[in-house]
Amino acid sequence: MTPEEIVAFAEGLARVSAAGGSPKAFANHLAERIDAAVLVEDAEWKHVATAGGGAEIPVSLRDVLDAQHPPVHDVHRLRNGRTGLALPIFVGEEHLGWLAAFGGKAGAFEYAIRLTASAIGVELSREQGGRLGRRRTFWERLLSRTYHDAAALRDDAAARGIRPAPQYVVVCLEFEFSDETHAAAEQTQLRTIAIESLRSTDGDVGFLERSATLFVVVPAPREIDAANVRTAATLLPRTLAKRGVATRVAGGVGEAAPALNAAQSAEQAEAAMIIGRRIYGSGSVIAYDALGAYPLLMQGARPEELRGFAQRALAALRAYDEKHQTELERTLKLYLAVGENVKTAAAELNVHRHTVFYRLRQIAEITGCSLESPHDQLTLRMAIAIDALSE
Amino acid sequence: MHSVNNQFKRPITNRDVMKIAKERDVRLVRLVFADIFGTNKNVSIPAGELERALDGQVSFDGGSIDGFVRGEELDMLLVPDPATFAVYPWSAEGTEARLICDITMPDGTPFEGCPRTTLQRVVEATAPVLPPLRVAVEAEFYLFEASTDGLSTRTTDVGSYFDFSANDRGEQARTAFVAALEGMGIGVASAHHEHGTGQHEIDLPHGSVLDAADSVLTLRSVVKNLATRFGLEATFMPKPRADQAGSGLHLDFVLGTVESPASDLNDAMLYAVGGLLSHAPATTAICNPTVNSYKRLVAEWDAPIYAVWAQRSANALVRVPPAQAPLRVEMRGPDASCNPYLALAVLLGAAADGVARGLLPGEPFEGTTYELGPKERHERGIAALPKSLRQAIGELDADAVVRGALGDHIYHAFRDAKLAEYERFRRAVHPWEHEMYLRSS
Repeated sequence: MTPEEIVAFAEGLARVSAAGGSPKAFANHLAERIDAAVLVEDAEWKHVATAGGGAEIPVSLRDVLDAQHPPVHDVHRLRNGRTGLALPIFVGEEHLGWLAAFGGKAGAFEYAIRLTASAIGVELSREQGGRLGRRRTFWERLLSRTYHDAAALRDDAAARGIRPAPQYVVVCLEFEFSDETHAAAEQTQLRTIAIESLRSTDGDVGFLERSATLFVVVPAPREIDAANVRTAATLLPRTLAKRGVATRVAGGVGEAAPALNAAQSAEQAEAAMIIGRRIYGSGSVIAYDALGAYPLLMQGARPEELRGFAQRALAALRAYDEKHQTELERTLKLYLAVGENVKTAAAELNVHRHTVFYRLRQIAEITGCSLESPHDQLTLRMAIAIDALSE
Repeated sequence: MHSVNNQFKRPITNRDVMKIAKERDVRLVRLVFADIFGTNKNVSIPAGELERALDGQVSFDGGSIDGFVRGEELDMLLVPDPATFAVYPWSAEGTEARLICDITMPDGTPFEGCPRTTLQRVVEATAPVLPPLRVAVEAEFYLFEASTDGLSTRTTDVGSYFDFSANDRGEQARTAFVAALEGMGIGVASAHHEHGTGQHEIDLPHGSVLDAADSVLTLRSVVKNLATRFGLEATFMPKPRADQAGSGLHLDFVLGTVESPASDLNDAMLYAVGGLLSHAPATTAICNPTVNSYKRLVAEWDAPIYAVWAQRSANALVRVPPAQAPLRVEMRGPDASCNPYLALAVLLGAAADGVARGLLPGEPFEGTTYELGPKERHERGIAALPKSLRQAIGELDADAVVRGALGDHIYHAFRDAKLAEYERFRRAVHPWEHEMYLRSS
């Protein structure tokens, strides 16, 4: 191309841009000018636009390129018998996609292809920023209780390209960087690990930053999904340590909640993080439902919440007693009432003390509470006290 | 498998084997290997050929072994593992011994269809991913009265779980099995009567993965051989009687090393359980490889029917007993008829995939799985185990990880043979059908 032709081509691109400039319009401009088939794909090899049509356009550029990820900033040759040029689309260091022109003549128009790739890059960058922003707004609205009915939530999610789930578990995380100078780079790495650990196939995962706290909204349509999110989140500190990340993480996990009530899961996650930090110190991610009585003590609670807490804490024991005609609940109450004295409890229950030990082991297994742990004891004692007051 | 009760030290080198063979006056050596169905095969050689055999120079016709190379003559080589050398205690003093072998092609390259080599390949491939582990085995079997046609399920035994009756021939035979195994250098952790009348269990302590599979092969041959001396017939058929418990081959993965056993529930263990459950429908084809296997996997006698993990529930597929050191992951699905090399290979492959992909298994199940309804199963993401060999093969076809653990050769050979077996079963007219329909139709 002569300098005049290059200038004329660039002026054409400017006109396309002024007219609204979509990647498709830029691709058309290039295809017409160089009389070749043109393909634009994003960084994940999805078609963004085609122009100049014809059988020359492959199913995907991936099939005709030998490209590393991220690719080098240069013209790439095509393989598998294809002729033409492919150019990665970059904005700064961010790889946004590919532009390819097919046919033997394409090599003569390298400058035009480069200029078009730059113009499409600006457009893709703007679009991506807008899309991210639109998605972020959805998660903000979800955690701010903006949606009042499921239809509104569903419609807004669809408009923003989000696949919603019927139920979510929210995880909140705060990172304590060992070295503030590398905080930005570490933040990206931590986010990547969090995404890997809290991934889901049941819908899109939401990420929302509020001041220093990262909220991860994870789809959990079934009980097993919620359990796995809770486990994966509580394993995060160990995962980070295994990956050699020095940054400590503190966090909390809320209970599963319907999408419309995801904000409650977020509040529980935040409360769990704050309580966990105070009780267990930093460096752990704690599930709200593992905190027993502490949320009630910190936040206060209405009578029905107190009764609900007591019922939940003693439910497994009661179900076991009912099914097997045992008296584990009575044993637990008596054991705590007599100051954890096994001998006295055995005498009161009219059983041998070995039977009391056996029952205490059963109680620990069934409730998931260690009777030697002051935290767990507090939960059980409070549940028993609330239960007694409710009768 | 190393036991404190071993009567002799395991040989390490070919030279050790030659020395022991001479000391014990061994006259005949059986070169033992397993076909893809886990059947014990062997080639006998006189003691004079032992040195040549230890050098891997003894060949056999691989074309005549089911699942190896059908329809053509192909000499394959038997490469003995010197650590498996053992003198059979039932032979006259010092006359007969065995060596377990890997199989190679004539040019010395490993044979893809050798189950033992396959297990070693999987152990090596998964070692960087899985935590250190050892395997213990609980093998169940029935002892029936020997009959001339060899098809009796009659027993004079009236015992049940953990019963002891000194005059019972089954009890006496079991004692002899334990003594023979110990005599061959295979430690026994315990042995007892099982639920079924005529059913017994022998538990082998934890050892390396390969040792565990070798020991199952030996245990089967010892039990089958010695039972006849008591007028009994031993069977590892998964469900010989519809009214009695089936025979399992529970495989316990013991986490950690002997020096530092794992005691806490940890992330790697959770991921491994996640992998075992996620691939359970496909591994069932290998762990439960006969038409009869699926008559054991029914809601009776604590047999597993769902891919569930639990700490206490006896009918879960995977059980991780709580607060126990060393930490054990017990696979309760495999049955006594499976090929132990292949069962362990696919289970290790599944567990390693769980660790590599960070698969989580949900909360441990409480209670009995037999009462699980479809809604609860959906909520808890619990898959049903296949109900027939045909269904299990379909699951195997769909699982690239499990197929990968088997390797192409074994996968195709196993699949073809098992589909043919299922088709023969489907076409057969069974006595139950006569009872049910002959007169009424």
